[in-house]
Amino acid sequence: MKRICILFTVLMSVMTETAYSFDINKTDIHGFVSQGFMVSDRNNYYTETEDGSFQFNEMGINFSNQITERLRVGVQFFARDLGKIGNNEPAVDWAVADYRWQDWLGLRAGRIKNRYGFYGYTRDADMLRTSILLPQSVYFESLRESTNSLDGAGIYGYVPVGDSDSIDYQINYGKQVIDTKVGGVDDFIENHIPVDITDFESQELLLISVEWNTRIKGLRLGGTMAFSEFEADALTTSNPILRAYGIPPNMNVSFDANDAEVTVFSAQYVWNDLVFDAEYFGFKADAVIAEAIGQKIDGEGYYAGISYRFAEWFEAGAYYSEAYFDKSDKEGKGYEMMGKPNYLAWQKEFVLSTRFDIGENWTLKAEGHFINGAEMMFLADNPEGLDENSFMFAMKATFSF
Amino acid sequence: MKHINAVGVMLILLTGFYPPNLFADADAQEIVIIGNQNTADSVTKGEIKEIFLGKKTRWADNTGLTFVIFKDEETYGAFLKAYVGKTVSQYSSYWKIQVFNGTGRMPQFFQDKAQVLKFVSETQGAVAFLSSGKIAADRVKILSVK
Repeated sequence: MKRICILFTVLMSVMTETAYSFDINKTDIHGFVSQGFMVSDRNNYYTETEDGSFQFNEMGINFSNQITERLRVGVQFFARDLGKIGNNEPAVDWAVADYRWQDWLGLRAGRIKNRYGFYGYTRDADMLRTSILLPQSVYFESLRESTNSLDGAGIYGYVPVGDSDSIDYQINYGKQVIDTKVGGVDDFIENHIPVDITDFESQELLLISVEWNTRIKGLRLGGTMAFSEFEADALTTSNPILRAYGIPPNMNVSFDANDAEVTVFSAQYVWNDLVFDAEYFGFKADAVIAEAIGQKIDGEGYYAGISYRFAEWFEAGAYYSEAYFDKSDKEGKGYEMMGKPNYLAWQKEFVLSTRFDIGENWTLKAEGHFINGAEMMFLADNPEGLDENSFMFAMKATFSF
Repeated sequence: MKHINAVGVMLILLTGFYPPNLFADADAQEIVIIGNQNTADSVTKGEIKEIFLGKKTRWADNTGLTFVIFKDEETYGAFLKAYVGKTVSQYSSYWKIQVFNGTGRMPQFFQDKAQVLKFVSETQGAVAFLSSGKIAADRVKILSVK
């Protein structure tokens, strides 16, 4: 895979600096490749960051063609590596036929990318945002696949409201696209529920996203709601609660997440080169092991951020983010009762980011994460335990065309 | 009276220290919106924003609408600021987001005024912007902005 990355980078590097895309027989071709590095003083965050890790890259290439005035088709291939997530296995990220009948009503079918929050569309391509890692309280990388795309159909459109307001909407329905073992969703479940996921059954996902472009110049508000239920095959792990129910370790069981709901509320205000953002994330589900043992999941996260472009080549930003797996136990009393540290219940991060744009095609970034708590760090990645406070430094270079 | 004077001095200082173009819309006056002869004769500022963000793709008579970008160093940024409400980098990111999520196609960019005129002249429903000055091309007209 490393050879493919090198070849891909060299191929794109020899392209002209000013060209932004290829156009072969009216087919647009765009792509990107990113390589990052993360290192932390304590705690492994997604990958072995305590030792420093280059397992942090993405690459994608897409082809699209405007077949008729109203019909466009396209496909994007994507691969990434973030510790155990992705492992550079190429996948179809989206493959869509888009029929835009009117501005207020279009139809998409195929593998459709979902609009999730204000930044879901930017999470895979590093050059589309200021920070290296989006606020993980809302854009948790382990849960990316639960809402990223679906195989199905959807409608979308743009509706002016009155003289100065407008609404963008997207409603998609279909099967979730979750890859067992490299997607990251299993890591999240296994970190909180005493099971080892062996196989996901793709289940239906309904995602509704609305953006309100308000009459106040620069202010937009948004909401995303996703509803799904999914099933998985799993092996039980050694756990006192399961033992109390007479369920031994390594037993084949079903794992269900019923009535799963994700909610994101977003607000953004842009004033020239200054951008303010705030988003809220809520996640609810009824987790059931072996159709017998239930656990209610009711987590939340939120952040507020600011970024400013000082020059054509330089931008800086900062955000503060908080995440809780159980919003009714933000102090971690449940963990304390189990003899575990209470700071596993939350994760608070203050992040400072810098971004350097070198011409049209290259982006370099560096950022620091001051972290308190370890809610989104996995015990499996930290067998010696997790510390309460940590600092992580990340760098990333991206080439895009 | 002292209070009024103090407020007056503060206002003068504040307005004096703001960058001169903070609230100004003067850049818009040096830009003209042009269209193919079969387009509407006028557009609103709101419609210009919708067109160049790819939200409005059809004219009122339901015929197709397309646009191209004149990527002249001065005109491009001034147009985006005056009509679209975005900076050059924000506008670039906006379209890249469409491209990398399968929701839109990158607009065509021309650095030469003659290329813009040629495209608009030859493409039904086409719209573009140029710096003001002599606009000489067949089947191209200047649209009034309401």
